[in-house]
Amino acid sequence: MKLGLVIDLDTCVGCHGCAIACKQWNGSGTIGPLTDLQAYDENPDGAWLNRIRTYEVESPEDSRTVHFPMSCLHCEKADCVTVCPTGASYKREEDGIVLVDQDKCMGCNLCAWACPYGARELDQQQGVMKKCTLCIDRIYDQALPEEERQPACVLTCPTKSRKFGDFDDPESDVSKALANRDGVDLMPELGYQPTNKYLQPRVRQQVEQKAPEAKSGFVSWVNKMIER
Amino acid sequence: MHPAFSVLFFTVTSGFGYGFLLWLLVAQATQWWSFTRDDFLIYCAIAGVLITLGLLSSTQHLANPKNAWRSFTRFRTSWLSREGVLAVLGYPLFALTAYLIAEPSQQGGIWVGLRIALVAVSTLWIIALTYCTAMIYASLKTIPQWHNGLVPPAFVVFTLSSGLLCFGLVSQWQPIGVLMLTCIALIAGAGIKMMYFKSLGAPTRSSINTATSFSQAKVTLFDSGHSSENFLQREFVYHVGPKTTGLARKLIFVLAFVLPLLLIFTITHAWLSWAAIISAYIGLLLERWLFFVEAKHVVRHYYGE
Repeated sequence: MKLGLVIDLDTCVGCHGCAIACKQWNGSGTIGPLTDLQAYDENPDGAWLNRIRTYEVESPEDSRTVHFPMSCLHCEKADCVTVCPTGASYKREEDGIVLVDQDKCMGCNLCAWACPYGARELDQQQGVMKKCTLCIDRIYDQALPEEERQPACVLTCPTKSRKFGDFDDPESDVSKALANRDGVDLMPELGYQPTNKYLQPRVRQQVEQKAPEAKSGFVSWVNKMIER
Repeated sequence: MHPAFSVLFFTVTSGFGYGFLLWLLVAQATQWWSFTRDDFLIYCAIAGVLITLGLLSSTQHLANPKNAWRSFTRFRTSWLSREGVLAVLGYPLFALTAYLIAEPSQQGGIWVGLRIALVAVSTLWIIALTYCTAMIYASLKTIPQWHNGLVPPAFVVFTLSSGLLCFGLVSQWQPIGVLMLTCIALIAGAGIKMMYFKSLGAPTRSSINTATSFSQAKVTLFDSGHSSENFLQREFVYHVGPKTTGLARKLIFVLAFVLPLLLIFTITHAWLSWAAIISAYIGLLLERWLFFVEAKHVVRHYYGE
């Protein structure tokens, strides 16, 4: 099993709902708390497992604003795991989820240094590293109805831009999402082989602009008169 | 990268301590220079204090030091763990070696062999330990300026040269060839650093385009998504102007290499030896600071670079 996310950059509207839902769910549970410092002050600070940045992407054919949510990509070649001196960072054999054992971490930051995607953040109050768990305490919770056994970010996404599932299963949501569109890796040159894939914005159809035909008559005369 | 002072102090101070210890052991065992038993043990203890100060300082940057003992467990994969294991096991090894070779041996045969073997192991141990320290940085593919083949030799040569400066002070530069060896080590250090600075000019593979997957477009950060600086920016984004880094590079060459070199060739008083050591120490601290400042983590691409 290879669990992960497919994120559609075409439909994401940058509402930050996924980050808020993530914060809400993971503030307690297996890796909670996710401490905030000076939450109501001038410079609020805190550990987040999911951050959304927005870019302007300009090319001769098309220019657009792209909202870019990023959480742990659960890499196949996860250097954050190999550099960890305490064994707190590990990648699960059974489903590929990368986790931090909160009881073993000594807060040396080296795994955060080894991560190219900024997926790991130190909880300053707890002194340990925090990262996305793919909501491991939701997706395997038999007490939840089956449709709710999904990461909080996926459930909350209003535009369904986030898909969760098993990449090894051709019937899963993520495999279906990749069936018609190519999923891309971020920074493939580093060789981390991230599991999460991103769907690039679709090429927008160019709407042909037709020049209005010149007509004679009263209406077109009025139009011409009021046109600026 | 944010230069944490505890890490700068640790790598430089321990480097001096390990280098000093290495040359003391080698000199005493090979009778390159024979100290009296008491002098030798006191000098070894001073090296031990430098090493320990450095190692204690390194634990200062841990956010949760109560789990530090666990860092001795993953030596099969982690360079940080290897460094920790070698550092801790080094204590009994070096203590035993120093104790056994402190007295110039009159006996021959197996004792000589054992002494030589222990010193050889200790020497390799210190070099391996320094290599592990360097590999913590050099193994990170996320920081092109650290993922550089010149980083491990630089660390090893700096340890050897700073050790030689300390050894020269306590032996009053009397051992045959110590001046020449120090000279070679300092020049080698300067040469490696020069090549390193030159290699930093090469273009790096990652960019905002590979980071965001828009390889053909012009990508600019529009909104970082939060109103104040976060952990990632504090840890990975550290801006120092090119004027300052240029000045720092020059100062490193002057303080860490040129000045010590001039001073040891004009030794008339012990305090000039001290001046050489202090100059090299400050120079290497500055070198380590710049090593962090010039290291550009790829996560910066997500923040618009």
